[in-house]
Amino acid sequence: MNKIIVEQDELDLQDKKIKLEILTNHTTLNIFNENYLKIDNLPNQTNLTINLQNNSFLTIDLALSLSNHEINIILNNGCNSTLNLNMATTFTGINNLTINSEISKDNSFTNIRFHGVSENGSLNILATGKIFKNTQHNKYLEDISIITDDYNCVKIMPDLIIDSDSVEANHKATIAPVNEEELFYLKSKGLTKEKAITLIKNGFLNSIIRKIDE
Amino acid sequence: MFEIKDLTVKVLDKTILEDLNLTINDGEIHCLMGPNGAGKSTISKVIMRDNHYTITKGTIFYKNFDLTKMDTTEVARKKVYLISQNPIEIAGITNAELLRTALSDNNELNENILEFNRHLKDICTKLAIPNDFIHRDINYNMSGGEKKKNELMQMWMLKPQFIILDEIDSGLDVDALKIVASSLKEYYDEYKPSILIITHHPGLLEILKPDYVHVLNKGKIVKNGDYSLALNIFHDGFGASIMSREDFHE
Repeated sequence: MNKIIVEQDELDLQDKKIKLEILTNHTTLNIFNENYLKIDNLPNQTNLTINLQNNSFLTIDLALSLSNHEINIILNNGCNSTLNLNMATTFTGINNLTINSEISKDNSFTNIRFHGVSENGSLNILATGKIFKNTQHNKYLEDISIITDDYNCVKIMPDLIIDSDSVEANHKATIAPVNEEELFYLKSKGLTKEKAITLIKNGFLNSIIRKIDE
Repeated sequence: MFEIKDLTVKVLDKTILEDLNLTINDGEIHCLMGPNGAGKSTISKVIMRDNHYTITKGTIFYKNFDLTKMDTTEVARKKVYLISQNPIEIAGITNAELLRTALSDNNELNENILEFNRHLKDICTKLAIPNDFIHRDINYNMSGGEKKKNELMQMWMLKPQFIILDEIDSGLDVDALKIVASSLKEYYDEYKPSILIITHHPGLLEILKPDYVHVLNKGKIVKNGDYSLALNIFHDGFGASIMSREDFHE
């Protein structure tokens, strides 16, 4: 997969399947037609705006190791656009993530999936989906799941602001330790607890991002 | 030899199994039957040392090791293998990853990656499943029949010597049942493991004929017999075959 190093504030992308290496703190991506983006790293202070133009399609996979990151993502959907935002992250240190999705046009689909695994870090997530008045036939899905043993270090604030009567919106947030049934299953195949936990955590992250490399 | 002796098991404060005794010699096939809620699946979970179940009394010995003193990993490494009635799905971990890790951790990975994949493909053919099962996530988005075959694929690779089949036949169509039962029979003929079958249906037992049949009710074995006992139960039900219906836990 080709890579683009992003050093400017604004970038237009059309029919691209690429890796992005973002070096600036403020970046705006304008998406035209059908695109697939992979991002493996972001600066500690990142403001990323993604503008989907009308009739555009974007899947963006972010596989991040957060460590004292402050990330703000703003998503704007055009008419008849589709956005799949997949974030698989581990986190150490103190991290803040804000995702603002603004649905102001019609017939768009936004699907946000976040899988996080704590490595003794803390993470605050504020995810807001705002569906504007007089918009029609939009669909908004948001699924944020985090594996951690320390509930006090993770805070998720999912927020839906819906001003339209014509929308399908759904959001889900989960904070939990490693699934005991999965752990039992893997141990029953002969894996040690430590190896099983490693596989489960990696699998949890891979389950939403690994299609990137395929 | 596998021997459960005077086993009493509780979940929270409720007794599920009480003074249970069961002996299975090497290479024998035993069938455990009983009404819903009798404690059959509990036995399989207790043998695998699921920590949701508390053993308050008794022992489970297998090849002179007391499984009650072991954790799940250690039990599995003694070549004990459970196929449950509804194997869980784990997204993000492939069968190949699981098997290579399990075999490697137990110092049994004697094949290079090509031989390993070829071996798995042969098993897929035997089970009439596509080769892509090898790299599919564990039981993820599989039908009930595919999950059972997936578990059998793992069984052929891990080569257990004591196998617990907890209603492996539930939810299988006629063709899938035939493939599953035939695969188990082939495995039995090749490796001669001990097998404990938990079932409500005759199909599996027609191919994998048990040496002994036990009926469990209210946490205790209330009747022992041979294959003919299973046939009587399939024909007449538990009540008529064993005792009056009202004595059975529903």
